[in-house]
Amino acid sequence: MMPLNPALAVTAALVLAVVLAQVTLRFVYSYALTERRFEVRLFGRFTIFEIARESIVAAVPWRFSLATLARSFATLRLGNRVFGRAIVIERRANFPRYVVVTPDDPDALLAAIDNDVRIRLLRRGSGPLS
Amino acid sequence: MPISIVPRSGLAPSTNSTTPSVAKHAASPPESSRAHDRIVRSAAAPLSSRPEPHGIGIGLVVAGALEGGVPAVGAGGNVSAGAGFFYDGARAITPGAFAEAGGFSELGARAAKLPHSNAPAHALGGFAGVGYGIFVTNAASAKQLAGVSQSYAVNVGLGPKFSAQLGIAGGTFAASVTIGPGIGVDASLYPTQTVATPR
Repeated sequence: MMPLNPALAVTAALVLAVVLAQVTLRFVYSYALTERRFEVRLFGRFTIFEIARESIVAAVPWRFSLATLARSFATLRLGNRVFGRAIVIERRANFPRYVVVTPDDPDALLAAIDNDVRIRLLRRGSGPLS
Repeated sequence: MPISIVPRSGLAPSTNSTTPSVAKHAASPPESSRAHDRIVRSAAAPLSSRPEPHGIGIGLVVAGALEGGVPAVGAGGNVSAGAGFFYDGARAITPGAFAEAGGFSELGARAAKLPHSNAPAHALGGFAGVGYGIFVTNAASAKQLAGVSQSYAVNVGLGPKFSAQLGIAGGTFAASVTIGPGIGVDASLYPTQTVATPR
């Protein structure tokens, strides 16, 4: 039998793991936006992580930059698919301050959080975000 | 296999090829008796001392790690469990499972490791995370994975979304890649203990 090449084995494991993650990770943990919280649920049922919507400062599409790289030690990576748009949620005074998620509908999540932030600013007497 | 060094004629090799302690007692019994003794001793040798042929194994693995360190100061541990199929290259495909764990702490020259080992233990960076994925090994059966081995791991953010853990352990190597939630980035090496079934 041909000896197994370690480099080839690692590459094969990586490729298979990426495919497995892309197909199945979203069924292991998924997201839900409730009236008060953004929740990460295990198997769609058990909440394992939550963010109070009031504590969210901003949500923006993730883009590579030196700043995002520098923040990696303060970023909880909670994506549930390899290929798909990632959203960075910034929290107020919490660790980790940044949480990355990959919801089914990124635009809907961005719009909902943007709406929350606008309403809070209006309540405080500030003008809406430009 | 040690048993293969015994000549087919049943004659023992010359006393020059035996150790002094064996040679001292070798003069009294007849040659055929000494050859027989050698065969019996070889058959009674522990399984671990006999090299077993490698094969290939693949399966699913879940893993978690919590590690942190800078040069000379650090601590960490990881656990993983997997199950899959192993092919010995000749006879059969067999199912098997394993569980592995290890940990260490170091402060300057002082270090504690579980399992105990003389192998080095260090971590550089910081990482906490869990994940699941694939393992690939050159073990012909699950029992070849059992024992103490030195593990090397790299825990990184694969893109911004999730973390990937790559671990390689042992002379009979087992490489695994797992993907899941995590925070931080690090690289580490420390001894781990693996148990496997069937034994």
